[in-house]
Amino acid sequence: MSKDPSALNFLGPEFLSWLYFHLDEKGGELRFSEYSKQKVSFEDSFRMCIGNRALLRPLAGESASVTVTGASIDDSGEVLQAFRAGALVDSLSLEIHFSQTTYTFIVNAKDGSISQFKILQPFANQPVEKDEDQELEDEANVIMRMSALDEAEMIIDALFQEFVGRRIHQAFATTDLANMRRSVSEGLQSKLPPREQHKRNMEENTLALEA
Amino acid sequence: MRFLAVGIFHGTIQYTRFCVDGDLPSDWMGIFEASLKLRRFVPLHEDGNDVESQGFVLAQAPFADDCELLNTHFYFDGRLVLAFRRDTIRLPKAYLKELVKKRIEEQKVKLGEEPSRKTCKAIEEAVIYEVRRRVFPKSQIVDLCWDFQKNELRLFGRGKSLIENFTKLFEQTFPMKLRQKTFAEQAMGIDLPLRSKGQLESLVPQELYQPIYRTEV
Repeated sequence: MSKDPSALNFLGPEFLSWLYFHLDEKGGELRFSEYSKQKVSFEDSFRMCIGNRALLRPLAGESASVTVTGASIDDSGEVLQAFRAGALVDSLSLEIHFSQTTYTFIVNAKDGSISQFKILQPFANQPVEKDEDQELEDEANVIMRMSALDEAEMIIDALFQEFVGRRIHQAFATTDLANMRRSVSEGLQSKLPPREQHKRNMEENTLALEA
Repeated sequence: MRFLAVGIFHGTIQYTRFCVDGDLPSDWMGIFEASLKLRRFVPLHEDGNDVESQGFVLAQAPFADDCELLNTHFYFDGRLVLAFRRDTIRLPKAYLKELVKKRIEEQKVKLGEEPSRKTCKAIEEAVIYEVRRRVFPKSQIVDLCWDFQKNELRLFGRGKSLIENFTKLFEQTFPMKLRQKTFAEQAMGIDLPLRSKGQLESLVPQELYQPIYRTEV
């Protein structure tokens, strides 16, 4: 008899946390064929990066959470501090850039839902000639927008499958998790002032206090 | 009228993913049209007592209450596109209480004695009826798109009560079951060898770091 899927609800936050570091490791440049053998209609190579919002909370605590927003949240160090404090990613804003189109959206770890999905295309603000037949226009709209969701979902699902494939092996703790911890400590260290500078600052402060 | 809409045709999108369990009937168009006729949205009548109503409407025209739900309107290239509409009337409780109190006082002056419990109840019902006629329903309209090829459904909204109400209505209307596609659900659906499946089922949370503000139970 198979297990109740809700017992694996922790996989959502774990996946988004893994994805945060995986994108950094890959420099944001991904190839769909690396993650899935599925034939797709979109471009194989694309750029995927962290958007402007991340919400982190520990798996056990519902009330304590940290929301980081801004243009480059991955450079701020606040996300790394939250990781260091034992939080995992609860919702993450992502951007997928193809050559002509960009999708921006938020993935929610708890229920797998997607929010704030936007399709950005060049010349999108130019007035579009209205189709005389409203039904045809509606149908074209639905097909276009649902294809965009299909593409984004396929990418997220393929990455999730990759994560699950790694997660079930014992090596996950010694490789992926160890790499993530190293990224956190290195990232946090790089945000701190250099040791010599720190020492000089401390000496100056002491002298100022004595004076 | 207050109108809350989350659209499939325009604007920013937010949605919840579902897996649809069950096979599509061979004559699905006829079956679905007949089922939707029964579960279509019926507006709240101003003289009625109901304070909520829910059902399916056309996504393109959610307020066209007399428009029939035909496959020519809801079938888009392998996808069923509809909207779930829920109208609710919220009576202002504090105002009702005050009004009932005032009417009972008036009755007391008129009769010259304390009105009976039966009279008080009748006054309360009359006040509710009077106020209900003056309150306009709040409409919630959430689009949905069911992809027959992938057996997946997207409900363009989030929220626990919305999902519960929608799932119930969907399963009453169509001969299928809905399963919310969470990451956990998705993991269980991945095609893995038997050994890996066992490993997946026995997974326990793996924290990156021990939380420093763990909540004690």
